[in-house]
Amino acid sequence: MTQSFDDTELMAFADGVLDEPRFSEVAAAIEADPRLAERLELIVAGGKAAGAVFAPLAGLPLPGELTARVKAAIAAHEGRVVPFRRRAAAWLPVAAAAAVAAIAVGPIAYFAGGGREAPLVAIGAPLAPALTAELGRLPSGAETRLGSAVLRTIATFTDASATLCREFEVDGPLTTVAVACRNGAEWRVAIAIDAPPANDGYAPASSLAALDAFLGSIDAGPPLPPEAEAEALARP
Amino acid sequence: MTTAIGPLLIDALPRLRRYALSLARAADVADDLVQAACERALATAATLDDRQRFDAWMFRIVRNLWYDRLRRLRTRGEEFDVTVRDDLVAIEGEKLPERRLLLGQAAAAIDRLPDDQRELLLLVCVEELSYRDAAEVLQLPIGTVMSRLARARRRVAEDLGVESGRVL
Repeated sequence: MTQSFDDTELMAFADGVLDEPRFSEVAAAIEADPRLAERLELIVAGGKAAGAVFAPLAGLPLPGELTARVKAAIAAHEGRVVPFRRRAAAWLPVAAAAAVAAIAVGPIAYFAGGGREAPLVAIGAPLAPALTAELGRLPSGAETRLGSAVLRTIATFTDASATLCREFEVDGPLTTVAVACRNGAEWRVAIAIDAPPANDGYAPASSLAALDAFLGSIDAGPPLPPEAEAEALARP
Repeated sequence: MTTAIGPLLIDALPRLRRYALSLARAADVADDLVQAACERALATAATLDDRQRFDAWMFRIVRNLWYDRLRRLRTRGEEFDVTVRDDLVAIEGEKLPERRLLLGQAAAAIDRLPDDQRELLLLVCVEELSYRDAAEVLQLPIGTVMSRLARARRRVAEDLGVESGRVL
């Protein structure tokens, strides 16, 4: 065996990134030369030792505070709608424990009271008339009963194409967080998420990650102040 | 402008924290470092042009912040001794005493490496960056990265004894 291999090549071989024909040449040389095999083994063992000491650190549970602070930084940077931030602050202790139950892809399994089997919130479909009427007039921060459900309006904003949208929550067996956008006289649901119910209404902040992503994707503007909201809702 | 790196940051948090822990060795310092790096990343996301290299880009931010911080401490006459606060929970959590001993020896061997070798070992053998991405993080030619990394790995194994290295 006249060929020689330096440690760099042995390492590239060990890491599986040495190209042919060199790879096969190293493989053959190792078979034939125990001293070369020993050098290879040192290089492999040194790397494995580092992995054994440090790799498990990524499996440690993330401190909730770190996650919350990074999420807040992301939210602040993306100019996210203010009410979320206020809510996120209020729900920090809950956030870690709660998880999004489901992102709805069809009619949400929640029905208005009175035995009428019509979904109150269904993606892409026009809203139930009662809900349409309330979204068109109820100021953000208000609450009203719709059959056995409670509707809570959260914010009103416009998207990149100046379409008027509202974020709202419907409390029933589950809390559904949704955004509906106005299309002529109709409100269409753009996204709806079932969140586990929280004690005092308001979906836990952690349920809102998907909503945040959605709002980012439509380039949602800041929430309209009350007067501007009333004016926008009154405008056809 | 809306940036899309938020979800990438959240996904990367466990690894960023591991890397920060491996640099700072103290959980509170590491968490602070990760947060600062995420904020820096959000502010400078426009400089990220290739999604594939998000990891390398983030590790570079964490590393640079860490060395900035060390430098600032030093100019103030303070020294941050990483061996005083060693939050290497992975070792404490190891149940088998022999293995715990070995892990402790390996950690000590890695600590004895020169800084430039140790940081490469961490990036490639712990964070699993490619040689090329590690070269990007450290702004070094790839040839330097490879020879330095090979030296680091060999040195740790020789220090530890190849028998021990084999067990780990």
